[in-house]
Amino acid sequence: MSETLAHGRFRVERTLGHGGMAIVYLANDEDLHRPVAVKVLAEHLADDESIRKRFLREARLAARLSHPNVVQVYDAGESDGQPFIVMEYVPGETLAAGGKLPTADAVGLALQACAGLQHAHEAGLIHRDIKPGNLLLREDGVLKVADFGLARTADATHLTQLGTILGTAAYLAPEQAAGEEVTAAADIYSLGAVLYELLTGRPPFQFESLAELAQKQSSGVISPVRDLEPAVPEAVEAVVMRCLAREPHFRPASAAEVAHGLASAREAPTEPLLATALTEPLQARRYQSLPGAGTWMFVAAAAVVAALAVILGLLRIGDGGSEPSGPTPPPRVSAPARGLTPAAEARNLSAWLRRHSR
Amino acid sequence: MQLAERSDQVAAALDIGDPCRALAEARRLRRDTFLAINDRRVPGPFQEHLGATVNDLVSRIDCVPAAEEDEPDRPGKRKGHKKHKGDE
Repeated sequence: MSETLAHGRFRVERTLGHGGMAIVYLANDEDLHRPVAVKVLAEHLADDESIRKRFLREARLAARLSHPNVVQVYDAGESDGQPFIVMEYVPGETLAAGGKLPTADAVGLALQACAGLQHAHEAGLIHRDIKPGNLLLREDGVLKVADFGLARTADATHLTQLGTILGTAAYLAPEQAAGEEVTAAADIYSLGAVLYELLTGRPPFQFESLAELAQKQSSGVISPVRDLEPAVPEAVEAVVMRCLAREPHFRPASAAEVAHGLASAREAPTEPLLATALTEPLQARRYQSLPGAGTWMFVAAAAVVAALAVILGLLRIGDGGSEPSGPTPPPRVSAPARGLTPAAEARNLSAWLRRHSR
Repeated sequence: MQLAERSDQVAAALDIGDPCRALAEARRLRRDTFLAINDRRVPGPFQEHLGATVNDLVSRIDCVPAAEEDEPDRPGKRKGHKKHKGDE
């Protein structure tokens, strides 16, 4: 490519990084005399008009966001037939380079991510690819969420190389991995997965194949944070585990609620384990996002896993043991009826437990 | 004690008008529930319904001790039973 973009406005200085979809350059804005990051869609993808349009459309949507914890999109356009996005340059590194952190540091970073996500969600945008590599840590300690909206373009490119998918999959919400419609709750899950890794040094599920991940997301249990890192306060653990709830409506209702929980946890670190598990449903708000085509591998894996889950059967509830109770468990379990009074709810719960314990 | 039996005890305490005992039982139920979940004794599909219901139950029970009948009247003190949320 040429050394400048947009008729000489941006002078390219060096490459910052590249993936299957785009190359990111450090450039200088010759008009405003400031460094910028310019993401240029890869040449072989720029030939596809639908991808080119989507790339620019998502960039323009993301450009509506203006928040200290979101990488600002300044401009988008085409230069010599190659679409590009001009963004704020963030000197520093991503959280992917960090590894395990002390609780206070991890929570502090998560609070900043929550602020950025909350701003985007209020604007009707979801990220869909929150992972350590998309969380940029500036040299002065300010965290910025990068690449809002670009996950949809990545899906459209069908760039599903196994390495790329596996690197991202650990942070995907189960419903997103299954190719279902995504809401802000998926970002909440991903944020929880990132925080889990920052606290424990490993993602919630360890896996060597997509099928294994799909199986674990469907029926596995995430080890409590404190099993791996006992120094983490119980209240922080409770917030993280709520974010990682399998069902979206059991997760915190917003990034702001996650932030509130984390901030409270810092002040009151003796919250009983999991005692604050979510009981309020997530707002049924729709966002400007559609199921991604790039999740097809997960859909196939989920189908295999669903068949396995039927074979595995249900375990017994309560103290009575863990013997499998049957080969064909129902795929969906209804909640106990709430009851008009607490006494009725307790009786309903008792009946529900006995019905499923057998 | 089985979770179902613990839940029965919550209902029984509420039935006899003892919300404070009911709340104590509900809290034990919640503790036992999360111990069971953490011990992998509750299958995944049941965990969230169970945890949410138990939390809801605890939140619905108010422990407000009934006023003592024998105590002489004092300014600002009202006699009689208060209506407990759990007694509805």
